[in-house]
Amino acid sequence: MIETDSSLLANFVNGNEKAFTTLANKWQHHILNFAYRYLGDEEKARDVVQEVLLRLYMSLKKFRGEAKFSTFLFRIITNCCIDTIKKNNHNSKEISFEDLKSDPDLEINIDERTVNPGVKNPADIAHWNDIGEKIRNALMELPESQRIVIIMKEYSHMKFAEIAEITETPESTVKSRMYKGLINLKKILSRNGIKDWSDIE
Amino acid sequence: MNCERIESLMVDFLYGEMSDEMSKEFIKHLSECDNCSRNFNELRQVRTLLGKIPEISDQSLNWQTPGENHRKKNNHLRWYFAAAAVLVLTALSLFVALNTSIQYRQGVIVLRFGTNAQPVLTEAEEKTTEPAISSGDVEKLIQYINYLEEKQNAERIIISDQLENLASTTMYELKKRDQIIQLLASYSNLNAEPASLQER
Repeated sequence: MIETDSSLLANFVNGNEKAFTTLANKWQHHILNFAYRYLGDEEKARDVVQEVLLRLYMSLKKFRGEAKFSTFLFRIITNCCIDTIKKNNHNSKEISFEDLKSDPDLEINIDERTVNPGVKNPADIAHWNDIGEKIRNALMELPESQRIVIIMKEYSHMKFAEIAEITETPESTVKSRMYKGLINLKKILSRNGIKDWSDIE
Repeated sequence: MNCERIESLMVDFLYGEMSDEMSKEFIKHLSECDNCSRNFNELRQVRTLLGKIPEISDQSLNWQTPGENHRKKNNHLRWYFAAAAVLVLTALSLFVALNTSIQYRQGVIVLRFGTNAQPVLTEAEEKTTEPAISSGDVEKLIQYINYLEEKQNAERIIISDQLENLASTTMYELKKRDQIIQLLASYSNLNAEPASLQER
């Protein structure tokens, strides 16, 4: 039987510590990849997972179920990620779109692909891994407010209303950030190497 | 719908958060407006690319129980922790649920068990050197043990007799780690009442 978040929560609050471990195991992959996409750093993302689970553990007994568990969890994840960014702020730099400089060595012409993206062969996989890297880097260049919305929507598959609740922002603002974020990504990717968009499906 | 309105709705349509009726209007506009159609296709392409970010594996992640973290952060409490753990465990593992008493006498903690109520010195006596537990502290411990005893009636607590492994497993299995930590933390500042007891 698959245990739901709410049944695991109830068990944990009633003193079953194993229920929390099950909950942690269930969510840690998602937390890790959310943090990885938000922070762009695997090591920091792994630290965030531990911090999120610890904060979750400490706060769950106060969780009264007013909000959905996922909303509660993603508030913690977002806060942990933001704390990590603040902690490392002296190492980071703000990049505006105007400042972006294209690097000829990174350029890729989609037309040079010899295989269909759907076909799994080593060259194809390498190519799409490279594209994935470019997307990940491009995502990191977005303003945080746009990046977080895109990650929540694209990778955590949340409704706009739920993102609005987690980020405590009006839904219209969330949608506007989503739109601007996607448009900005397109600009960044175009400048960073993806020149031909005609056959991306 | 005009182009401005269409633009504001693009992400709704892109992520399937639009009603069927509005979707029809949206599609109709796109079929008639090259500019909006091109803009929407760009969003779709970016969305396709977003799916290409590789995931990383969580295999090497090792969730540490908060109990372990607490111990690392509360080294100064370790003596109290160990002493109370021995006391609580000894009490619980030996309790026959009847005629049990705990006294503080001449610097040692004395437990009485069973109907004959012969005094039994706990392992705490042998293990404790310093700092000595004050009688006030013992009152609090007794209060806490009484609470645990009451709880035991409602929920059978499995006690491990592996006292050597207290720090890593047994206290955690008692399911009362946070209360104990809170109680012990209050000993480091004896003016503070243990909140876990105040609440009850």
